[in-house]
Amino acid sequence: MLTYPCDGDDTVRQDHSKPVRKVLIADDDITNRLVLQGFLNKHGFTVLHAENGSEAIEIFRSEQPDLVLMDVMMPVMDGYEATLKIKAECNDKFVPVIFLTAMTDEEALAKCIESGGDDFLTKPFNHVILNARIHALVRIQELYNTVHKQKNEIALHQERMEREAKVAETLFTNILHSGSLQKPNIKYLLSPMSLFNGDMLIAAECPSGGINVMLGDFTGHGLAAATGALPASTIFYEMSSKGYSVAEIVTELNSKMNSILPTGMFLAACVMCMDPISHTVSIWNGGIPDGIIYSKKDNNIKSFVKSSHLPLGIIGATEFDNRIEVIDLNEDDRVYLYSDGVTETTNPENKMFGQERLETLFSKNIRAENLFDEINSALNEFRKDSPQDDDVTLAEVVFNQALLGNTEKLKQLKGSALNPASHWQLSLQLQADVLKNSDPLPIIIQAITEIQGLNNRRQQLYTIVAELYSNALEHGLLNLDSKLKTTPDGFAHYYQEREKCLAELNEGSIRIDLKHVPRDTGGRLAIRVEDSGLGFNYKTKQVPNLENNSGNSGRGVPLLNNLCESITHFGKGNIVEVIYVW
Amino acid sequence: MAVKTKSSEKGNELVISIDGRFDFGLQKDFRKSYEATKAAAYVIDMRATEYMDSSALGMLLMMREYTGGRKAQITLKNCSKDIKTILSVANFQNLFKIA
Repeated sequence: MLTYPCDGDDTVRQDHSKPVRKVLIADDDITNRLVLQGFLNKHGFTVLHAENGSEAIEIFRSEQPDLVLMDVMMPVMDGYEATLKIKAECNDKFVPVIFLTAMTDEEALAKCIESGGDDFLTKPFNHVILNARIHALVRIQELYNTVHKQKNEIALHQERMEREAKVAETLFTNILHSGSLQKPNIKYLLSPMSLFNGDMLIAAECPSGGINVMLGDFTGHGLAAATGALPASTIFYEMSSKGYSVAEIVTELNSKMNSILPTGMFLAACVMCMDPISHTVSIWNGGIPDGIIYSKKDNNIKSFVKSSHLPLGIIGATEFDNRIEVIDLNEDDRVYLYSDGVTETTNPENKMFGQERLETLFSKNIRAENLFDEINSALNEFRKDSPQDDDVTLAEVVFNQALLGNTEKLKQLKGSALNPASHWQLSLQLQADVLKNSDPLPIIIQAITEIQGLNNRRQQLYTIVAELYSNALEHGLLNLDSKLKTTPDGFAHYYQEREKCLAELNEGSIRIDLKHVPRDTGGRLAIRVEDSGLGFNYKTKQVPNLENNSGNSGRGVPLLNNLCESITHFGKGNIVEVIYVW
Repeated sequence: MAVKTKSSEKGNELVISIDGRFDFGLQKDFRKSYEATKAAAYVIDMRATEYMDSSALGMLLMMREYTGGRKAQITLKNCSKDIKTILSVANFQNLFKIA
């Protein structure tokens, strides 16, 4: 509530920090003017005199008074007309006009207000009443001035924001679209709901000839949401171009997002690599709706890529789960990624598009080439003219070998004269203190890819070594039960346990042996991992099925089966060897 | 008000009910609800929650951090099918108890 000091006496409050207020008196009767002047001077106002309406306007223009006392009947120009003109010249300023008139008929008084007057008093007037009226109008004037000032400030602010947003928008558009989204095997739809898009869609080619695609959705919309897109896209582009695997990319993204985003803000993301060498797509999905793998052969959905991880930037590196899903692809199979804005598209009746409608489009489709456009027009038709609530992003990536790998480049890489397939061997013995304090994976992967120029296989090699290493550490040495991860609480519990056990680890070791033998084309890499733990009965343990597994555990072994020629367990189950052929 | 709180008779549990849309509009009220009352465990009752968006997920994360991070005891109760889907896509079952 706006309070105003009122001490009960008849003085008009004067703000002494401001110059004394100027009052213009327009009256053809000099006696009236002098009486008013005496009253006003007493209260600290300076007074300007006008003998008629026309003079009032002139003085109003030259002296800019703060308040006008206006007589109605005057020669040359009457008070009504003068007030109309004065009010028209006020623009954004509020200059109160009080009519002082001897007339008492209602129509004449109503006309005072109609012509722009703010109040009227009938002569002869009472000083107390006049003082009160001036007092009231000055108060309104002050309120008006404050509001007006704030309005200007807001407008200025708004203008600056819009200008900055425009600059930033250009910047982000350049970053987010500078990658390989324009490749002919990618179709996409990005519709920003506000100036900025909370969604990001980026693509980059890998040295292997494959393509990496990332669909991200920041919490919220607008500038705050898009700010994280800059570091995220930099990491994605750089790591992709160097051949890092999806698992490595998401690990780095998570660490970065975790360190820069405030609590409560995160990046839901799906990162995939479509690889023409292994005919697979490797996907990590944390918080994006189920990706869809469409089979050209079956002319229908082959599988879904469920979100099986927390979005990026929520948990720290120790708890972060970078395991990926690997799905086989045939020529012309398609992968669809989309943000929740697609299924949450709302029609005028406030119904959501939903998962079911989307899947129906896939089952009804006749020509796969039209699928993307069919989805797009179905969404537009559904929405009609209702407003868009969320960012809508949809991407289709076609597995087309000719378009994916630059085969010439690949051949060169394979038979690279600089790095002919060679015989080599590498052994690493990691003791408890190393296991506790460092992650040996990057060094191992670096070593393999450096020696053999296997950079284009980095993706797969990382997955294999990471899987073997974490099995040896978590199950071999730390004795953690992956069943823990199947219950809702268990997942977090599992990683708490892992951290606790690792901190308490005093003895034990993991030995990793790598042995490479060249073949006519490419080579054969044996990776053997041995832990000093108790092992397990590998003869009776059932290998879970990757395809039907949407849980949090048990994806490791089938994943290895998919990527390697063979997996063999030895000893009491504490030794495992996989053969990778390229 | 769209955010209501009630301490349970057992005393150490605070029940926060969300009425209508759970989105950024509730940010202030929601924060006040758990900052004002210290409890050993928190229950968010979503019986009357129509919808939640990603900023609500963010608000839940802020609450989790404020009430003890990994040790926080927060249960999301009476979630509708749609809300359960939103929570499970984000894999929030790993961070919150969803009953």
